Amino acid sequence: MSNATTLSYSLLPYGPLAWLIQLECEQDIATLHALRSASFHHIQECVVGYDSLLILTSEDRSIEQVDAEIQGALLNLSKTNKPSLHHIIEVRYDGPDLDEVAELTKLSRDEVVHHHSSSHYSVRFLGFSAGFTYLDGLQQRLILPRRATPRPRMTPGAVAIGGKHAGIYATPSPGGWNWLGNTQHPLFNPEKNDHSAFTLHPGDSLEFRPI
Amino acid sequence: MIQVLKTGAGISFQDRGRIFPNSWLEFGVPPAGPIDPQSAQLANELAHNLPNDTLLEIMLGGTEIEVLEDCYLAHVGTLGSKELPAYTGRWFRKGSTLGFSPSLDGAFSYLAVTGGWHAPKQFGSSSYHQRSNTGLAISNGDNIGIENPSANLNKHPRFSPYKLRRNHRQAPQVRLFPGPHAQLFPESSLSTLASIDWNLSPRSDRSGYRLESPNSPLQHELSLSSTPTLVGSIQVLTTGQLIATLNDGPSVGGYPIIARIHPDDLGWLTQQHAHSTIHFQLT
Repeated sequence: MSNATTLSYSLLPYGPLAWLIQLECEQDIATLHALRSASFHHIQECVVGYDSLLILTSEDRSIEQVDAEIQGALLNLSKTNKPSLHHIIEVRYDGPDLDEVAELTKLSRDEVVHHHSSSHYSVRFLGFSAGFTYLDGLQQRLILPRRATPRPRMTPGAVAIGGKHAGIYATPSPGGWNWLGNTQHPLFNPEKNDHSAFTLHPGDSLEFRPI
Repeated sequence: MIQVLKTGAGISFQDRGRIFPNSWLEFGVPPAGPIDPQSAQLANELAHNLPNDTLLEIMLGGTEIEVLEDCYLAHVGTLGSKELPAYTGRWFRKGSTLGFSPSLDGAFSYLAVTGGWHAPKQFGSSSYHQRSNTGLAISNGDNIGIENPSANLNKHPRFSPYKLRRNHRQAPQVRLFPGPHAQLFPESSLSTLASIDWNLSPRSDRSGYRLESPNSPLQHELSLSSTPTLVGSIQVLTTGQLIATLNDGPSVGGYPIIARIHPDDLGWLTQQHAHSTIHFQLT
């Protein structure tokens, strides 16, 4: 199954052999993921960001040549993506920022937990650190700025919110998001050496269940 | 086989890293790999190795190594070593020792062994990434073996050709390309960036180098979504100061990417000590 897809974007230069497709409309993220898995003649690697796609070419191409390849790929974009999974993530809501989030949102701790765990989320993309998941679907009333000073170390399994998004840290890393709780759900297994090393993939849906 | 008697300020396994055709950027896995890829490549060449063979990256010095079995070692980088000066390779006998000492020339050296160092691979690479604890860390007293030992080696001393050596007594030459967000700044911003001196902050590491200038005119209030970064992406903080993303840095950044460092010039920048003055050139 394939049919032409239209996409509004700008194609921006990013130094030698690199270009950035910047979406005009962030709702088009699924098209970026489909584009990432499309095959191109001269495009060696694609990396999805929040609303952009980094493309690395195998040889020097002009902006017109790169754009022609993108347009060609959009004409034949396969809509039959791999089936997405639904995950239930058990969370112990004992994060160090729970009280502060409750105060800033003028909610009780229990209400914060309720609002965080009653939404359906979808995995937007992986990035920042290995296996870190950006989740769409955070309730409006939990939208807060990131912490003024990032923590030097978030532990794997940290469940956090930052701006419009919920997220889960799969590996230790510094982090500026508000830390609500922790999960034991297996997220990252580097021993596997392939895509199955990551539990959560773009397009998957998930919900949090308090324990 | 060698033994690391003293790790010194820092020593890590590095091959070319998790880059194409072994990239995991789309899962957020940083590439890691040698912070001065040009010197790393020369070290492997001097040892008659393949480009992806595992090296030891030695930071700042204080490192001491004892040779437990005869082997051919090659050193390229900026640290001092009485027993094996930079850009040389030679045969070492069992029982000999070698050390690496700090140098004004720069911050990193690479030690290659013919056959490559033996290090476990994760995600197809031996490169160590500290933040995510990917790869194997090296501690005092660790023994390190050779991946592909060979009985029939050329044991003659060798030297890197002079024309391939960087002169680190010279001011670094770091060329810049416009980045995807250069267009969001006033038109003269890139040329201004290249016309002022930047000071390399001591708050710099393998994740990123911070570049500071009291004269930066690049203050902004741009708020961007997370955008994929490359090794050498230069982001502008709201204060106008810069962060150059490096090998161990995050795979996306939330600040505008005004420029990207020429891939061939990364080592010029990464070898600089804290408080060095950096001057960029626009391509």
